[in-house]
Amino acid sequence: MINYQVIPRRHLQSGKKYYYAQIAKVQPFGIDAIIEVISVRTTIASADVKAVLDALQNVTLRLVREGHSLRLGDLGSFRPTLTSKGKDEPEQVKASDIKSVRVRFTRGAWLSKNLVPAYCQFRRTDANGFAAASTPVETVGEA
Amino acid sequence: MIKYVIQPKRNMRNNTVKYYAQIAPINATDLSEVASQIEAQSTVSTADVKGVLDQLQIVIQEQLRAGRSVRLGDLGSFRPTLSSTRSDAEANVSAKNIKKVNVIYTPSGALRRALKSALTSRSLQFELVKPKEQAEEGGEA
Repeated sequence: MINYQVIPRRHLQSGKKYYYAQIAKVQPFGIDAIIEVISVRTTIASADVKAVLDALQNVTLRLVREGHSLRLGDLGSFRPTLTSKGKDEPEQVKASDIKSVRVRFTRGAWLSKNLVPAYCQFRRTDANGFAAASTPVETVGEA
Repeated sequence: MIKYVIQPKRNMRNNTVKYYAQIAPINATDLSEVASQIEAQSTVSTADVKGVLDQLQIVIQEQLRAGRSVRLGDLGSFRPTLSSTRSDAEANVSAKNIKKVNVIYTPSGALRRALKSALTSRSLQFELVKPKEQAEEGGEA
């Protein structure tokens, strides 16, 4: 169930006020819960599940530092990006001009295909995700 | 070795062009290679590493579709967001306005700090890839 709230925004050029749907406050699914679910479903010991997730973080950092991207199956890829200072001529750009190296995630085939409104259920709530029990569940039909 | 290319970008406001370093196209390391690397640094068996990574994808997908954020500790977190069309009145906004469900990944503070300190301490290595070399390399994914 994806909870959405309605927010106003002023259109900059016309000054008119419009309303949009925006995701309401999300409940977090934390690492302990993740470990628990994976452990129960795979019958792998929680300590081992945790060890794999810890190692995954190390491996991701190491691969990104070495300029590789990491594909987490069909979920998506983690890849390094960088920002730099701008120079007037291409020859002037040096490695020392690189200001930051960051990690970005790009969604993969599964998320692109399945995390779409057509396959989700929505409910209109307040900013914190609360709504009256009688609030209908909305679906948006075929993609 | 982080490979980079030099790209021009136009400043829209004063219509000048400047040159910036940008990451070069990268080969992806796929899941089985990631699993081997994890196995090498833990006491968990190959089969179990693969099992955990496969289930991890499933759990992330399920939780995102259920409208929750997924917190993976030092790896970072994923959260769903929505793209919506506009309506004139508050009462007219419904799920029909929702055009896209997106995923935003936020790296953990630890990950960001590790990359930042690697950059400032100059322990990251960069290599410029010239356009001619790119053409010779050809079809790398």
